[in-house]
Amino acid sequence: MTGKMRLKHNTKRKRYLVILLGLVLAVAIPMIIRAIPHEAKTRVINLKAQKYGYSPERMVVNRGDTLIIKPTSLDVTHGFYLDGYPVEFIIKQQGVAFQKYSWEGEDGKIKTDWDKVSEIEFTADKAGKFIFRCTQTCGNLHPFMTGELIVRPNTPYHLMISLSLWVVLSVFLLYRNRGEIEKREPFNLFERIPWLKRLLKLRGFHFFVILPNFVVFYLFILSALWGSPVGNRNIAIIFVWILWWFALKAIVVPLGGRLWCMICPLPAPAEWLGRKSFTAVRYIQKPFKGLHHRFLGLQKNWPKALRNIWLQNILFLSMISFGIILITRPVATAIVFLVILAMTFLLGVIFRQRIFCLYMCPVGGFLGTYSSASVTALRAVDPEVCRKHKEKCCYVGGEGGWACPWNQYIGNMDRNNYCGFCTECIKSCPKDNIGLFLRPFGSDRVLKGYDEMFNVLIMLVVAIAFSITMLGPWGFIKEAANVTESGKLIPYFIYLACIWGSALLIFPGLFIWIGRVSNRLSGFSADHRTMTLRLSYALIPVGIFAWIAFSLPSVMVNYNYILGVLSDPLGLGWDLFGTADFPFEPFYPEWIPTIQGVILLAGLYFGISRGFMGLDPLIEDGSVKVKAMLLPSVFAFLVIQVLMKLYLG
Amino acid sequence: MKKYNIYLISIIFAAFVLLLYIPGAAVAGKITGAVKVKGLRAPADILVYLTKAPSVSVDLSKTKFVMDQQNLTFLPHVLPIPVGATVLFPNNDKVDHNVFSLSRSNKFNLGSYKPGERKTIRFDKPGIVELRCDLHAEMIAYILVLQNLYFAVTDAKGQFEIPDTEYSAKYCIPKIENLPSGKYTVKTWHEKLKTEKQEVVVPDNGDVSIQWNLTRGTPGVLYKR
Repeated sequence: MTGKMRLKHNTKRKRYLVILLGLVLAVAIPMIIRAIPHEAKTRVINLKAQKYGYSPERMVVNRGDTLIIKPTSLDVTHGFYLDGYPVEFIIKQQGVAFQKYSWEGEDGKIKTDWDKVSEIEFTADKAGKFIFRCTQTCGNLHPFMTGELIVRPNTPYHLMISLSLWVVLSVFLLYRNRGEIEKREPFNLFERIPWLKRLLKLRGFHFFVILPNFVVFYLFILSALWGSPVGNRNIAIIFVWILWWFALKAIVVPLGGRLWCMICPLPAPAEWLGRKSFTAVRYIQKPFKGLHHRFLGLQKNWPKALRNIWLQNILFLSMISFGIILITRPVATAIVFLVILAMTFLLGVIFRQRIFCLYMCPVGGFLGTYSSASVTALRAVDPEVCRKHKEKCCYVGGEGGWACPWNQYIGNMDRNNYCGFCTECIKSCPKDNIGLFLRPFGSDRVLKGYDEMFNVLIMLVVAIAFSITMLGPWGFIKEAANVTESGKLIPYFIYLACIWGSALLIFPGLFIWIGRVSNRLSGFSADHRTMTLRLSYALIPVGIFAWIAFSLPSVMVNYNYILGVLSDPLGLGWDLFGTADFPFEPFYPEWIPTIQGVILLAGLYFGISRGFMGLDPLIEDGSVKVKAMLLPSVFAFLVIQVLMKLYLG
Repeated sequence: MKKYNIYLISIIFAAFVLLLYIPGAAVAGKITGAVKVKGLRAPADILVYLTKAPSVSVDLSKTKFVMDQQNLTFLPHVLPIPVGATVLFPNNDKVDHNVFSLSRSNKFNLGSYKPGERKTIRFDKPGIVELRCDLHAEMIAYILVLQNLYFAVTDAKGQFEIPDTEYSAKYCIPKIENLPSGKYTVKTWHEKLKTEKQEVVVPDNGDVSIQWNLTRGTPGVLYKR
């Protein structure tokens, strides 16, 4: 071993030692806080329930305290289900409550019954944050009626704060000189799994993956229009906004990027009409440059000024302005789908390609930016082959496949953002030069315009805003967002101003400032725009994991609704599979805050580490990278702290 | 004079013997115990009573049995009373109530009455009286009319003591003597529990303690016909 190598080895060992010490410290401090003794008290809490919140919305007590809750409802019958404690009761008016209790019957089965009580007594013997939830369908926003019991010392929260500091420290130590780590060979799935390539090359493949989805989605629209108007009893709401949304955020996007765009049934009819075909490709031999296909419609080009995702950003913000209404009213969901369907037809008749998907789909915007982090990518195996191939069949169409509906030339495509995974290029390429690559999470690491940076920041703001509105205990915010029921316009406009202002002014303004200061700190390693866009990539993993953390409770708490609507999809009182009346029994709800904390830690790790890696082409020196990443890391850390406070604090 | 002294000594001796006897009687004969339950939120409001017991003559005119109505609830949930007692039904709520019973032994309907008003009923037959309110279906309570005064209702922890001095004080029942030694049958009653009985021997001097393990089920009647 040479002296230089030994020195390097020693620094590496020292670095790992510091990280290990940091971990010990990060775990020890919350444990010391936990060990501080305190006096247990008896606390009497007069709990008022009113659509769609409790008062007090937060009960803060010490571990060991005895709580005597005297509940009453100020309007309709509500429920109280406390995560992690065997405390459940129904709240009626005038202080009448029915407390649930259970026992093991003689046949070994657990039986339950309700007792009329005026107060409920229990000991808060578990520390942490525990959500209490309404169990009686009390109105449109019923699934979001919650309150919080905080039992101090809130060790899980303290642990997550100290661990997030440790994550930042560790990433700074590990990634400032990441140049040491060798680049791995890309892993081409088509080489490893030849049948996958054969499958994707089938002309009928795309049609047949859309078809079942197509049938189900349009049944959902029918159900949304004619089924139960109660959100949690309608399959459209439950499957779209609970199951689909979670699967999209937590599984599809991180693993498959825009995989959803491959199977999305909404633009499919317009595309079939434009091609005048479901599966076949109609190739026209042309001696000159141009498309080798003829489509129905005017085939205009989309205006250059609009070839960005600004429109998507605005449309997404517009859609989420009615977010809580959209996800609780089946009719609103149906209207959105029908408008999207109409738009795809209209734009399909006037313009070339998937203009709606590329530039207008509110979901498409973030699917694009977030897919840049996904672990799969469709790319040219050898870009040189593409360069030499004059026909560019992938772009203009070939005998085997249609011209790229997403206006991408895969020969030089280096990001996932605008590739809709339609698999046409795999079929059209005569050189067999397309591969499906597996890669590490967060590999594209380049944003190419402020429209994309704004999208990333909008997604962060909306994740926070939705966490406050839907997961938080504040009834007045829910009422402000729920304008169609409350009819109160001024609170609604204040609510909108907060979201739009944060998404379009405060967060972007702050981050552009951070970009400039960081560039200055790094000794002007690039122009301000390039530096700001590079640094903002760090917020993509943060955003993805923030959305996973936000969506998790909707599945863990409301999975019973999924079973319920399966048996009674229209809310007409059917019981197809015997699960229509599956009881409200959240899945290990007391673990939700901790799992959310761990997910956020992962977001912080991937965010800052990918931020560092994104700087590789601009900055070589590790200490300069540290200077450049300092403020973006603080920003990411603070965003994570806000979410941790909301989920765990 | 001597004769007088002998009388005096005899009286003092007799009084002394009597004094010895009375405290002895007061010490003996309490049945205490605890009930454990599978199938209830708490082992409270369970009646524990003796099917047969020495008759005690008590002046019931001074007793004050009350079945209150507050916050759409009857209070207490279970009220045991001796046969012949009168129960007061005050409406201390904010809304009207209409108390009635469809029980075979004591059927009545007090009609709708306003807050602040009160009505009384005398219960002359032993048995279970299920009280309901015609205006509020969820209101329910039980008056248990018993043949003797040797009974108790369990507290929140399932504990009881027969005779129940706290109960006597609460409803102004004159002091009840402890049980004479002997063999007794003790039974339980709760609207959601299977009725159980135990034979208990009260010793000559001192208390006897019993334990119950009750399970969910349909209760029986208080007394077999």
